[in-house]
Parts: sequence; structure tokens; C-alpha cells
Amino acid sequence: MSYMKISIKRVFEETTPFILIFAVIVLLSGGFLGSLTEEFKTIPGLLILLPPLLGLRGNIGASLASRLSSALHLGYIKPNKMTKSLRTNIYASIFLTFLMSLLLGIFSWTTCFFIGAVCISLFAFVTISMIAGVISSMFLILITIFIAQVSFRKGLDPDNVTTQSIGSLGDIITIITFVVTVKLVLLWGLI
Amino acid sequence: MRYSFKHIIKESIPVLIISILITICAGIILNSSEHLLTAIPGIIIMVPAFINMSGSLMSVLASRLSSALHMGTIHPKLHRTKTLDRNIIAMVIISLVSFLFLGLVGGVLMSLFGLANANILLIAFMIFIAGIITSLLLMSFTIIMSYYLFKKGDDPDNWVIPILTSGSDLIGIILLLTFVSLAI
Repeated sequence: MSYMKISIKRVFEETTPFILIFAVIVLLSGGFLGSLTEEFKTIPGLLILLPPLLGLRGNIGASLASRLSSALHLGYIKPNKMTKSLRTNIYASIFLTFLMSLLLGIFSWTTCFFIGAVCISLFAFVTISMIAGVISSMFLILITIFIAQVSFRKGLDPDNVTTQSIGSLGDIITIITFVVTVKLVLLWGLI
Repeated sequence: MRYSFKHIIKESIPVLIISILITICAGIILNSSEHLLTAIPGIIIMVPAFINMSGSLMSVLASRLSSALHMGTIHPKLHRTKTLDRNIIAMVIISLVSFLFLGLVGGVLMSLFGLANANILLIAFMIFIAGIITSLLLMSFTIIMSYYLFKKGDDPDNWVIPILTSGSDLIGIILLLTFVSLAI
């Protein structure tokens, strides 16, 4: 691919379809989020968790994807093979997910506490953040490995396609997991 | 071979913590605008799609810039070049089309779900304007930060995208809520 002659048309044609398709899917998953409207009113502080959860999985997924695609190019990872590099990357992503979901819950609650916002207990915050964060990341790690390999094989431009696809899929998975987690936690009577 | 567990963890933790802190601010703002979420219940549907879109657009730009910097087709001295110009023009066009689309589809969905009690066309227009302003702000930020980090010798890939997507969550939520609140 020649960056010397970047063509506006090519960037537009490669980027826009994905952005628009994912926009519709993320909008629909937003509709799913809309089913929590009552919970957002009755559980103070719940909404604080949403942006960090959405951000977290995107960052872990996107950096995994960029390491994987470099490793595929360099030959450290072969498509469809479990190599040591791939395992290390998976373990590191899982570890980061646990650690960051825990910190996310603690930081959100602390911030809430210091600005004096009404919010639920630290325990409920950490529980929701850990369950939603860990489950959505597990799915996302698998999908990321798959997408990185597919786009490597098909020669898709990782700049135009891969990173944003993982970000969007991550949002969809995170929203679904978040809604389900909140409903479950309510069902168990943890809040 | 090349990847060590410890190395990945050590490199990722600082940037992840910064991005968590930025997005918690976004969360606090979202959480404190309950009156708006009650006034236009459908707006919660728009939030993920809106912040996702601005983040996606800019991560495309950020990864294109860092590839171009690494390959030497853009020099790390900030002045206008053809490659930079074209990247910017492409991003502006894609942003215009995408946010117009998001405003319209979002407006239609909100009325389908029966969640909009304000003027849908006005809301769609506000989403569009908020999107364009978010894009322009983030675009300047992306360009400056990529050039700066590259010159400093850091790999923009490791820093720009995570900070950018969290920054776009924060700026996106602030601008979306501000502009939509003008519609009621």
C-alpha cells in the first residue's frame, strides 16, 4: 500500500462502510441499554460505570490487536496456531482485564464518594465492574484474535479497518454484558 | 518470542489507568445529567453510538498518521504537506457523512422506540453539529499529539489511540449533552 499517494477516495471507501454499519449496530445495542432506563433512575451512580467500561475493553482489545498484527507480520504468530507469543499476549490481556476492572470499580466509587454524588456501595460497584469487564473482555479477546488473523489473511488495511472494528464490536459486547450484569446483580439482591 | 508478559503489563498499566480516569470523568458527567436523560429518554440510545463514532473516526486518523510517520511519508515537523492535507480532508468528509447518518438514523430509532418527545429533526441536527465539533477538536488533538510523541521518540501507537478514545468519550459526552439540551 502506498502512502506516497494516499487517495482520499480510497480512505473514504474503505473506512465509511464499516463506520456506518457499526453505527447502526451500536445504536441498536444502545436501544438495549435503553431498557435500563428505570435502573438508571433507581440505582444512583450506575451510569458512571458505563463510559469507563466501554473505554477499558476497547483499549485492551485495540492494543492486543495491534500487537497481534505486528506479530503476524513479523512471523512470531502463525494464523491458526497457538504459539508462545500468542499465549503470552492472551495471558497478559486476561491479567490486565482483571486488574483494570477491579481498579475501575474502586476508582469510580472513590470519585463518586469525593464529589459527594449519591451512589451504591463499593462492593456493588466492584462486582458490576468485575463481572461486566471480565465477561466482555473474554469474548472480545477471542474476537480480536479472530479479526486480526482474518484481516491479516485478507490483506485488509489494519489502519482503516481492524482497530475501529474491534472498538465497535467491543462496545456492542460491553453494552450487552453490562445490561445483563446489572439485571443479574439486581436479581441476586446485591444492591 | 519477542513478547514478555511483564513487558506488556508494564507498558499497558499507565496508559490504561489514565484512560480509566478520563472516562470516569465522562461517567460522572453522564450520571449528573439525569434531568436531560429524563427529558429525552431516547438520548441514552445515542450515547454509545456517538462516542463510538468519534472514537472510531479518530483512531483511523491516528493509526494512519502513525504509519505515515513511521514510514517517513510525513515528516515529524508540523507543517502542511500533501499527505497530511489529504488525511485531513478525508477525515472531514467521512465525519460529515457519518454524523449526518448517525443523526438521521438515531432520530428515526428514537421515534420508533417512542422515546422522543422533542422535535426529532432538531435533535438529529444537534447530534450532527455536536459530532462535527467533536471531530474537529479531536482531529487537532490527534495531529498535535502524534507529531509530538513521534518527535519525542515514543511510539504513537501505544499512547495516542487509548488516550484519544477516552478523550473522545469525555468530549463527545459533554458536547452531545450540551447540544441536545439546546433542543428541548
